[in-house]
Amino acid sequence: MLKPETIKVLVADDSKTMRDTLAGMLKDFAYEVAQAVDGQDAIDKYREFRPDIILLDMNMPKLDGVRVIEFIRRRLDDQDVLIIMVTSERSQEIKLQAFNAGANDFLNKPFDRAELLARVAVAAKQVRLNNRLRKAFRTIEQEIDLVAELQGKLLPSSSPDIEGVQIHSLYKPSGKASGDYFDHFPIQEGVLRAIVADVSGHGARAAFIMSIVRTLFRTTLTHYLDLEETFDLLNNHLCHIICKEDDFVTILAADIDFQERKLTYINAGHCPGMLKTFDGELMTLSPTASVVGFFEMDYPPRTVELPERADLFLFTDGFYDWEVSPGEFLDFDGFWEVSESLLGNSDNFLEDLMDGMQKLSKIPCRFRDDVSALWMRMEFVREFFFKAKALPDVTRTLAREAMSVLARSIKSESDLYDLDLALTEACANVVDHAYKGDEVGDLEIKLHVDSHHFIVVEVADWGVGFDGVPAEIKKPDPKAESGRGIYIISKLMDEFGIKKQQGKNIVFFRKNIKKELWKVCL
Amino acid sequence: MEGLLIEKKDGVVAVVYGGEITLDVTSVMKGEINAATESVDYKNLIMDLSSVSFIDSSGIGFLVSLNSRIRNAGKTFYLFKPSPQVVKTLDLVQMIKYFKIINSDEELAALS
Repeated sequence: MLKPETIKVLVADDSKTMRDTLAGMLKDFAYEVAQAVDGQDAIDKYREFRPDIILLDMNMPKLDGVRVIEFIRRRLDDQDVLIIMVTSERSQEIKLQAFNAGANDFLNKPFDRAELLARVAVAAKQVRLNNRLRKAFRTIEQEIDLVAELQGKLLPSSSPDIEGVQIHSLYKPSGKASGDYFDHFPIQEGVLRAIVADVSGHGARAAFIMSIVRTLFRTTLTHYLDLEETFDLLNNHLCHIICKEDDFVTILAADIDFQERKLTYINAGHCPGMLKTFDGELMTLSPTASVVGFFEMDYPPRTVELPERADLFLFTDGFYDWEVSPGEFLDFDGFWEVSESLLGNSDNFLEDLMDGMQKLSKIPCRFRDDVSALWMRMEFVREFFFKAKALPDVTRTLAREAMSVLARSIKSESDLYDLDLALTEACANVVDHAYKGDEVGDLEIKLHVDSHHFIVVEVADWGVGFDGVPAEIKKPDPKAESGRGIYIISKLMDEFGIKKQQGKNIVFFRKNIKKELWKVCL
Repeated sequence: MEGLLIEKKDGVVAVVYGGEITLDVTSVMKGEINAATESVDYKNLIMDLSSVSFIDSSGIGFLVSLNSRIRNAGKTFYLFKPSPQVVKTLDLVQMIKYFKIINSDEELAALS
């Protein structure tokens, strides 16, 4: 059996006789006792001794009892120490003042020894109970901390390195553990699975169910299941585990196929996702089925074509549960309006969205619910520009720079070599022929990357210009020391031409690259 | 120049180059090889291209020019172990048959 904890009592009274009497009585019952001779001393001793109970005289020099109580309760913010007033003061008003200031009990002098000991014993019991409660809360808090820490590890810590794709996420649990879940991982060659889910409720219970959802989703990483099969698996498991409870899960999951430029999604009772093209067209990924974990049902997927450039925004409903002024909350429409105006226009969408919502608020950001969001920018068509003086060493460096950009997207060494050779030939052509005499003009390289389809390269100068492409590009004489550039470009590329545009002479060529030869890094 | 090594021994000039052969290096290379071979009596010039990572039409033109000059002087020009990148470009312009190519150390030893 554990030894009962010692209760510390501070006796504050300006009468030495009274102090000694009280201290003697209490020591007989194994209390640890300290004494204070006036109000100021009571506060000093309180700081040193940290008593569990204070027996406090009302009328003391320097600081009276009511001031001592106020100081301890308000200034030192101790609401736990049990304060028993022991006084000869009979005034009802003084008593009320003491209780209002935070006294717990009141005993008139002269007191009955047995009554005083009984009141101190009640206070000691309360102290022990409080201590046990505090300990229990600490244990629970530690457990929740552990759950929250583990839960944090279940969320993706980094974004996959996919050329032309940016992924940002936001996670703000309302408490420590949360029922929100977001994730993204490669599911097949060239396909990324993105998920945002929300388990009803908060805290450890929601976090536990969230971890089941996450585990089942992550299973599909090693044992491929398409979205429909994945939702069937999730629903069967969750129905089995939680169907007799009130819990349920809403999920919006999408498979983004970078090679086929398609997005397939299932929205099980979740708030709608947003897909917005750079042209401003908004597509809403509305629910396709009901929530998961309630009853058996089908989860048919929907597929949409992805445009050349688009932003995808998936979020949990906690996002619009935002207190804009005391007691007033932002509604879905207000949130949707801000999101729609920023999506496709902001490079730091989630940050800008938070700022935008903050502007609608009269008070600092306050969410009631867990908040998670996933923002993904997909750019399947991108352009890159490089410009330098048309000098041999400079242009070769420029070509290498351009090739390093292409090497981030293309994995075929052979295609990269072909593009490098054609580009170097086009640059050498400008260096050798574009500018007359000692004039050193500019050279510009433009790369047009249409992911998983083709590359178009344009090499431009502002010089005298070339003749058009000859009708027949003949094989060069083996003994010739020059004149093979155009032949090489025409042999290596799928399309080749020369054009004039806005004062520029442009040699352009196009190389089609097979889908499987693009890097998706998935 | 950096990456270029020229050795003369027993009637053979061996030129080793590692890097890219493009417009920005060909004229310097040409000058250094000409200077190194001008007053030397040799039978064969062997150009080691095993460490060439990239060659464009200017590089091909340089090899054609070197080949012509050496042939005209009554000597023989060989390409030694051309890298896959060199073979690819030579093949592309259908010049692979135009050069004498040595692909092994045994063939090289047989020359001397």
